[in-house]
Amino acid sequence: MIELKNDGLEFSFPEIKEELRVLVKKYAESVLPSILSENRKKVLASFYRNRADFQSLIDDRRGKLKKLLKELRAEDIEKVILERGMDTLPHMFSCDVQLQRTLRLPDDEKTYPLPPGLDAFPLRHVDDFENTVPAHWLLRGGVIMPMYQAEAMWLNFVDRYPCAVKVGAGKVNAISGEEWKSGLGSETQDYMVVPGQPWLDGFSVAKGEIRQFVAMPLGKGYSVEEQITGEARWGGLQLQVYPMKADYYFKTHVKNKIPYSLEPLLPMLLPDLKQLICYGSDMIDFSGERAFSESNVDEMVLAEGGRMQQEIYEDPHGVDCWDQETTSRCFVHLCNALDWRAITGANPPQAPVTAKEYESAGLPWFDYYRDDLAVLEGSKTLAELKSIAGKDKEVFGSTGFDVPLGKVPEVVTCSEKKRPGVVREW
Amino acid sequence: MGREASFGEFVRSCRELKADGGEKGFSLRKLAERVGIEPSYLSKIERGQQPPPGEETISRIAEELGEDPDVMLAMGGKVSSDLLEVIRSRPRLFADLIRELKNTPDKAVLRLVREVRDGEW
Repeated sequence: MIELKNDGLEFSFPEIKEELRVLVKKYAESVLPSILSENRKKVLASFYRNRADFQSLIDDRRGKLKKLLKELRAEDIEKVILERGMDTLPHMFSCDVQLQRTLRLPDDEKTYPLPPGLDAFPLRHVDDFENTVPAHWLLRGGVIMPMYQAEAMWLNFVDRYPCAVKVGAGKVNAISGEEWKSGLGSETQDYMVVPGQPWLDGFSVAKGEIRQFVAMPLGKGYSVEEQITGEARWGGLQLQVYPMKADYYFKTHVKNKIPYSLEPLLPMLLPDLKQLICYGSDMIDFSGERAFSESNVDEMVLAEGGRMQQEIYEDPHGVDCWDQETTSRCFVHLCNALDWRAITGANPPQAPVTAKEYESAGLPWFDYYRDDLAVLEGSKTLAELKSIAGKDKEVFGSTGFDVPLGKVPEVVTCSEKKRPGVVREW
Repeated sequence: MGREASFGEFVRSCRELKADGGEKGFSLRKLAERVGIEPSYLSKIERGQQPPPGEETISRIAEELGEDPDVMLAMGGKVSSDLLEVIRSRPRLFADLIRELKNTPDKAVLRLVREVRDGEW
């Protein structure tokens, strides 16, 4: 299911949580017989050996511990294995996608670092504006979002559970340049993996290089959709999220954190243990690791803008680990920001800051670095398309919007370790 | 205790709490000045000798005292005009919804979610 939350789209998968509960329970049942058959005297001896903090226990406390261990029941052990298993699961089974406003880079064939996030675009349910949006938008469902002509955007991914994310612009895949199809590409990777890919700023045109997502009116010939399909049919932005299969997640993230023998379970099995080894106020911590057509609305679509350094990472897990049956998708209709008031009654966002203004303010640009993931080659199809400036030059003999930048003032390098899950900021 | 008295007492207790806490400008006279009413009128409101004032005045008192205007309006037996407008625009829907939710715990109300609908594309 998808909800509008915190100015973003939250794709959540409660069914995966349920499947994982079942897997944890089955696992607990499967390891229980061997745990029950362990020699408890030996377990306790080993526990004393391995835990220096227990070696100094005085005899009567050792006796009490032995008695507690002897009286342990199968249901107590199973309950603790289940609890430990559930504790290793994420709190939320979701992936948020926020659509960030940003600067439009000069489309001058130079390659720029990543621009900042200048707040999230407002999003509204298309169903709430049935009298003011085109009828075909209502058929497609989803949400609406305002963008000025030539305004740029990027996508921020906030992962809480591993997911594969597919992005389309006018139903053209932004990674592969292929027309939108159901499922995930197994021959050519046409999706991104989160965690791993924190952001997407544009169309993947070469290894480590993208062309910025920039809004243009549908029907003017600038868009990737129109250049590839020859039609101005869909417009907008399409998002589809596939969660990691519950059994794959269980194998890779959960199973190895659940004890399958008695000794590591002892601190959780014997709650009185805390009191037994309480020296004054020094408690030992047993918490463990946690782990429109007839309407007047101007429809917008994304076209290729300036060049930017951004890597799209290879799927380190393989396409088979993604649950292609449990998926959620959303059509983000892009309307001209100047129509936002007519559609929603609310004020549109202010006109975007220009790259030149940003540069004059001396504010930083960004780079993202990680060396543990392989990088995808860009799409040849997308690389061959004309950017907005290229199209302008072809039609008008000059480029329209751009003011060249001077020297980029400061680049802040972000990495997974340094700034996990943080929207680009300074 | 009548509505007048409880509303008045609430206003007075909030005002006195601020004045006792050392914040300046919370004497009866100063507060009345900022809200734009006569001190004698505010005094009567506080003593329950006058019914709660109109929506605008209550909202201004709430703002000056740092209280939630919706809560203060409710104490004065009123509902803010923007909420009334919401209900008036779809009276049946909201009447049903409010009745349906009247005994629902706060947490459950806050958990009410709305899915983004997918369609044909």
